[in-house]
Amino acid sequence: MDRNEEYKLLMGELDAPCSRAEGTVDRARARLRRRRMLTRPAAAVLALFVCFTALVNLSEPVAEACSGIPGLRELAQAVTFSRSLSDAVDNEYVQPIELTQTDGDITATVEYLIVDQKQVTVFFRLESEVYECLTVDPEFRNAESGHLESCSYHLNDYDVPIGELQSVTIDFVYGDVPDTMRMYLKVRDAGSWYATESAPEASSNRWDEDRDYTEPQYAARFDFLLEFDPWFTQQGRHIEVNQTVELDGQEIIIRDIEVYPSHLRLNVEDVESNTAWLKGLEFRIEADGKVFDTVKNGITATGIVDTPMMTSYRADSTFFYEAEELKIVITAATWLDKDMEKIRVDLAGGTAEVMPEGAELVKAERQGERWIVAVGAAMRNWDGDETVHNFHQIFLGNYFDAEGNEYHINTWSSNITGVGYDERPGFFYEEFPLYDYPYDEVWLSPAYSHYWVAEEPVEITISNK
Amino acid sequence: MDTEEFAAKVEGIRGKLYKTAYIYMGSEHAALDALDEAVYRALRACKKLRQPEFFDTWMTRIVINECCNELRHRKKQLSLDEIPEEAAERFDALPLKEAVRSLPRELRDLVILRYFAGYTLRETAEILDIPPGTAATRQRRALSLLRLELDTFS
Repeated sequence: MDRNEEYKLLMGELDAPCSRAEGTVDRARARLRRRRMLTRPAAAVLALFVCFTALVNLSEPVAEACSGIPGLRELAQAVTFSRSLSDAVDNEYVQPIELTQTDGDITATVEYLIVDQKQVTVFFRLESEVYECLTVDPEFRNAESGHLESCSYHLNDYDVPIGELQSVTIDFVYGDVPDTMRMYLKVRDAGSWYATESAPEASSNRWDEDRDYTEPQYAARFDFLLEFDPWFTQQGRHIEVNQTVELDGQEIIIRDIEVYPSHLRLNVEDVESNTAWLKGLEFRIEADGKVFDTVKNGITATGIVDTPMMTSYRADSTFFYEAEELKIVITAATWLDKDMEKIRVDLAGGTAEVMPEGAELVKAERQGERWIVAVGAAMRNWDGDETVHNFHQIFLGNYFDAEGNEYHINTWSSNITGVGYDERPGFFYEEFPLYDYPYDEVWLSPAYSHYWVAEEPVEITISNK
Repeated sequence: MDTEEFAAKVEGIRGKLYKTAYIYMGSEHAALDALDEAVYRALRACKKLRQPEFFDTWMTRIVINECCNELRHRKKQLSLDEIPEEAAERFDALPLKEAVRSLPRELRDLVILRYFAGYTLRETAEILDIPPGTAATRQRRALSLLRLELDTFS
C-alpha cells in the first residue's frame, strides 16, 4: 500500500461520524453551568460544594471525573495532599504560568502557581527521554539571587514519575510573598543514584557518612524567575479574637486568625504567670458545620526566637467558605515546663535527671571523640485514630556543655527498632550523635515535657467578619 | 456572541475540529478530550471575541493549542531545524498517522489543517498566522517528507 492509499484509508476513518463529538457544545455548557453553580455563594450550593470537594479529595474516580475543570485537570489530582489547595483549584484560584527551560537531556516546565500573601506553591514538570527517574532539589532566592528572608520550603511529593506534575511549597513565616522570586531546580538522576547507593548499614560508621555529606552530581540545573500577579499576593485577611482560654491549668491568649487561600494561622500568646510553654495545639475550626483540621504536612506550627513557645498554628483554610461565625475547638496541647528547657544527662552513667513524659534514655555510648545517644518514647495517635501512630520529636537540635556553650545536632534517625534495641509495640527510638564532644555530661533541650488531652473540648466562637 | 450563536458556529466546523484533534492526538478518546477542553475554553471566552467573522480561525487555533499543550507534556517535540538528512526515509518507515505526528510542529500544523481537516491553503495560512507563501513552502516540504502526492493548489 503506497502513501496515497494509506491517506485515503485514514481519511475514511476520519469521515466516519463520531457520535461523541456531537455533544461537545452541550458538555461545555454543562460544565459552565456547574462552574457557576459552584462559585455561587448560596448556602444550599455550598453544601453541595463541600461534598464535591470531599469527593475529589477522597475518591480517585471522582477526581478523574472532575478533571474537566479547564486547564486544571491534572492540578486537581496534584493537590489532593492539601484540602486548602484543593479548594483553591476548585475555585480556579490559580495563576497559570508558562516557563520552560532545557538543560542537557532534561526539560523543566513551570505551569501553575497557587500564591497568596504568605505562601507559594509552584507546580512544575520534568521531562526527559534519557532518564527514567529524576529527583529534584529546589532552592529559592530573591530576584537578584540573594537570600530570601524568613521562608522555608518543602517538596510536596517524592518519586514523582517523569512527565507528571509535581509541586514545591514556599512558606513565608513572618514576611509576605514578594512580587518576584527566583526558583533554582537542581535535578539528579535518581535511577543511577538508587543503583549505586548502598543500603544504609547498621554500623557505627554511618554517622561519619552522614557528616561527610557532599553535594551530588546534578544532571541539570534550572533558574526560573517567578513573577506573581499582585492580585494573588494580596489575598488574605485577619480576624481578631483576643480571648484568653485555660488549658491544663495554663492560660493562653488566642490573639487572632489569619485566613489565606492556602492555609489558616491561629496565633496565640503566652501569659507570664504560666509555668509551661505551649509547644503544640490540637484543634479544629468549624464553620457552618464544616470542619477544618490542623495541617499535618509541611509546616504545622511556628514560634519566635525569644521563647521556646510555638505561637502560630496551621489549619486548613476557610477562605473559600462563607460562614457567619467560626468556632475554634481545642482538644489537646503539648507543653514544655519552663524549668525543663534544658535537662542534664549523665552520659557516662547513662542517666538523665528528668525526661519528657513517656520518654526514656536508652543508650549513651562513647565512640572515640563522639557520643551516640539513643532515646525512645511511645508513639502518638493523632485525632483519636487508634490505627495511626506517629513518631514525634523528643529533643530539639541543640545541646549545651557545662559552661553553656551551644552545639547542634545535624543528623539523627528515628525507627521502631534501634541498633541493638528490641522492638516494643507502640514505641519508637531516636538516635543522634554528639560530634567532637569530650565531656561526660550534656544538657539536652526537650521538645516537650508532657502532653494534655482536654476532657471536654475548649470552644471559642468568633464572628467571621 | 451569545451561546446559541457559538453552538451553531461550532456545529458548522465540528467535523474539521474533530479531525484536527484526532490527527494531533492519535486516538478518538484523546481527540474528544482535547476537543471538549477547547470548546469549553472557547465558550467561556466567546463573549470577548470582537470579530465573529474570524470565529473559525479562532476556534481552530484553540483546538490546536489544546492539542499541543497536551502533547507537550508527553514528549519532546522536534523543531524544523532538527530535521536530519535522512528524515524522509525515517518518516517513510512510519504509518502515515504516526509520520504526521512526528513532523516538526510547523509542518505538522500545516499538513493536519490542510489535508486532514480540509482547510484551504489560504484558510490554513490564516489560522497559523503565516504568509500564504510560507504556507505553500511548508506544504511542499511536508508532502515531500511524507512522500504524499496530493493536490497542492486548491
